[in-house]
Amino acid sequence: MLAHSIVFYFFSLITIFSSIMVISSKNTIHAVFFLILDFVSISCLFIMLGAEFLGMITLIVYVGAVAVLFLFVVMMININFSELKSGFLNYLPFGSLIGLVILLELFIMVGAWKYKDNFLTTGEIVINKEITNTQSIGNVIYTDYIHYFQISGIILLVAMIGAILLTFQKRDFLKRQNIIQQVSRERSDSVSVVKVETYKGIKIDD
Amino acid sequence: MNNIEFIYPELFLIISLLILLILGVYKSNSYNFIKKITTICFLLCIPIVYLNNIGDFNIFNNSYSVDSLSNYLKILILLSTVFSLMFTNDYIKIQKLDKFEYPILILSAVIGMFLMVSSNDLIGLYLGIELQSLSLYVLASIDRGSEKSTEAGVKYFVLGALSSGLFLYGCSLLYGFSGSTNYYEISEVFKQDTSIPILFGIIFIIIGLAFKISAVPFHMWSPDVYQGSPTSVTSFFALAPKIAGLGAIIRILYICFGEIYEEWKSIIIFISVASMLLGAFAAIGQTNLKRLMAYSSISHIGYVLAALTVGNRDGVISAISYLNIYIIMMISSFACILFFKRKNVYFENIYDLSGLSKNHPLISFCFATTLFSLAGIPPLAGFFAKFYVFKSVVEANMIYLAIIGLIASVISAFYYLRIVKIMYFDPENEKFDEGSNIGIRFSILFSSIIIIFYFLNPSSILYYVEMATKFLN
Amino acid sequence: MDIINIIFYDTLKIFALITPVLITVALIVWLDRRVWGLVQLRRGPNVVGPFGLFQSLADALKFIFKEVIIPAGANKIIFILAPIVTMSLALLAWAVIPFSETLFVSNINVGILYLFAVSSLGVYGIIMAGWASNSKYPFLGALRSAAQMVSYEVSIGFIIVTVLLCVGSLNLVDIVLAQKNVWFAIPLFPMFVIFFISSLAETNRPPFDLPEAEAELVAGYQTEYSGMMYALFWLGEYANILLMCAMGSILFLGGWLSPINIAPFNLIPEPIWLIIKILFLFLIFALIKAIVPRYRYDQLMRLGWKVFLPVSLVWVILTSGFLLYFDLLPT
Repeated sequence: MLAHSIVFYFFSLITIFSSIMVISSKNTIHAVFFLILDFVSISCLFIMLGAEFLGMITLIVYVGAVAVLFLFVVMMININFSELKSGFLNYLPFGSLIGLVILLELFIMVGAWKYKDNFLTTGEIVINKEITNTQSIGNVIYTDYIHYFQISGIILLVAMIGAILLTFQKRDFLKRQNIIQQVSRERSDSVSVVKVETYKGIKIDD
Repeated sequence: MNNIEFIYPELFLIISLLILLILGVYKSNSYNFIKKITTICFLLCIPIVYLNNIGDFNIFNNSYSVDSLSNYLKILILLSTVFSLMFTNDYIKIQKLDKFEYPILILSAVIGMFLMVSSNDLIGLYLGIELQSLSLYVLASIDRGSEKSTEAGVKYFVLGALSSGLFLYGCSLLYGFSGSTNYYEISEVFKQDTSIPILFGIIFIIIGLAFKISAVPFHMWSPDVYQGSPTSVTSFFALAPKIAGLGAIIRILYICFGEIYEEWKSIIIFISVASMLLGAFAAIGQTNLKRLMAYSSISHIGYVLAALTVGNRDGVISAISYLNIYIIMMISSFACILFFKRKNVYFENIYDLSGLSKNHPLISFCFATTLFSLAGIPPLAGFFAKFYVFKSVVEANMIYLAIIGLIASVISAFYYLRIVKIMYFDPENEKFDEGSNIGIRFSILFSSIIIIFYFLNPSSILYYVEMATKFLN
Repeated sequence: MDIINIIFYDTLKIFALITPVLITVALIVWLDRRVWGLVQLRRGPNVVGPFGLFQSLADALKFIFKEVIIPAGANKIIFILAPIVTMSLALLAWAVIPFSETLFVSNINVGILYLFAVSSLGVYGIIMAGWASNSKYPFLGALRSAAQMVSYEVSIGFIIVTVLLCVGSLNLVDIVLAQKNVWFAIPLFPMFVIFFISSLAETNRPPFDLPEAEAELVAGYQTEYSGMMYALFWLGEYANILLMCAMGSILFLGGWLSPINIAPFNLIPEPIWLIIKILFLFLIFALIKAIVPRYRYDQLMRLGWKVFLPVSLVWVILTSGFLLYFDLLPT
């Protein structure tokens, strides 16, 4: 148990530290790297909870794909961070007020949750320990929540259509490689062997 | 497998979306073709929805309900979408927006709206909202060359994402208290225990939904987006998404929060009063027709919400009837706006209309009746819509709401009538192009006839709406 | 007890795994160069030790004594972290590779996902190196490699899904045991080919070594590196290649199983079989490096997105349809 809690506190401290660094670091690239560290440590926490599937999917999707593209974009565009930060003090009072309100609401909710006995507690949730959690996630996603699963797919499809529609431009002056055309080119299409008679020459462009 | 039988309309639309997408990619310059087939799909979907209306069912573990109300709203959504595809045909071609993705995105938005009006679960509602708004964000910025359109898209996207965030925060609070995302189970929790401090959750959810229907104080995006987006997209914004948003609001307020009417009543009253008044006052200074329509739709949403504050079936009936007539008036006014072009350049400023009556007497008559109707002048359809709302509000002993509504409609009459004055009494301007297509003419004719002759049988819509809301008690 | 157990026993296990892996890496570097030389009718490294076997050790020694140069404009921390990340990620993944039914460092439920995740993290070493160097060529190399690795991961993901459909478990031991009757390389042959080619791209091996294409980008993301840090990149790269070979042999070539379950073959210890398969795959890697010319960047992207992705998607559907129709789905 001791080892378990040591590891747990280790990862949670990294999580908190890197989340703070994400919003406070001056260099945007560093912020993204801290975000990645954050994702990694969160997935470690998931694995410690016994949700190994979720942990791995977080790693694959967020760290392996999303954050790479994110980094890609941040590296490409040069953001002047000091300019972004210039309005910080102006917005601080209003921003912190909203943050405070949301925090208070969370406290109210947690309070109500803790001190009401007729609420569902986490202990009541039935977990089938016989099957792996990959299987139990699959069991609900493909039965009870199948329609949500499919709709999410359509949402992603629409996002893809939108991204292509808004960014793809067919430029006529660009040369594109047409591999089928290249491969299906025959010798007779491009080369002709002509016997050139002496002192007569040959007309090339006909 | 049984559940599938009840979602044939959705399945039909989804499958046609996928097939049309493939067709559109492989066929070059396929806008016309895809648009026609999309319109046919919408038209075919109407009988499918109608035949599907065999009773009230809750499927997928009560998370999706196919009942008369949702079917009614679905047919309304389909009809208004068909109209908005019909009268924007010319505009899309002239503005070179004829990409095959355009009708496909409208199709996907309609699927999202179907989910919104049918969903009986917070997750399903959220997914519906996202599907709808994601398509709308892209549609708003579809005119890539224009700065305004891009700005509109970005503004809509940022504020829409913010409102989705607020909505989700509210959902998570609600889920935290009730332990479920299902409307029926949440309302069971309220039935047993009304002392739950749930107000925060409700407020956030209502904020999120108010954003989507652009009710005050969450309307900021709407004038800019209405003005910046291509007019064809604006006309779509003014029609179908409002129906879907209100359908979702009705369902969540009456089924999920039905037990705690007293808690949300004051919030809705505030939003409705603010929308009516702001819509009326802010529109006075506007000279851009699209911006003016944005404020006008804000104030109309205010009236619909006023009807919902009644909290019983009468309120829902008058709200939906109002919505119905609002849709018809919007079809008419946007079809007219899309008529105003000279040498393939569209005009949006109200002063461009000066002296319209001399050049185009019929169109200016139709537009004037529509504006009179929007202002709620008897005996046009708009008057009856407002009458239903005021009647149900007064019956629920909320006379002050009716008075505020009256004041707002008197104020708004000013700017509607100003346009009529410009059309009829200002000096003559250059003629507009005559060669508008049949879609615009048919839409104007159809909606004007309904607006003008509605008084002959003012209870007709009420009858259908009453049928649709039978299960609410 | 708990802590002592973790510290001693597991550390011992990890060392027992890592040391052979590192030695093998040194050997395959030699093998790679040797094969390359032989294909081009040269001799390759043949001076240090018998057959030149100790060449890699000599190289390593040389790198250790060289000075590590950090460019003045570089972002020091990330610059130093980059090779460490590459190297440690390459070694991290070995934790779940099973050498026999009982011989592994850890046997986790989602082993294949772990492998996939760690191999997809490999791109960070390169991006960090490219960005931190604060120089044009490394940066271009990093961008190329990010795009390339992300694109090919997608089709590797689908290939893994086809294998999983046939196995019904994410556990690597289960995946190997499911191939007792027939190796997946036979029924899923097209997937095996696509996996092999994608793993070439995933490890930045020729013909997909665009991130370090010496003709265009000097040495790509490692241009500014020298001494031991360069050697770490180098080691990490080869450890990654070895890992992809191990993944290929576990997913498609039956892991530690012998090809035929009869006398002379099944007497050979199981880990030896896995090692033989890994080396066989590596030999093909080395041959391809020597034979195939480098792809152009747009061709690489085209191959990934327009050929491999649709083919692997179709194959997922075919496989699942086949399994469903003949009722062969694993429970």
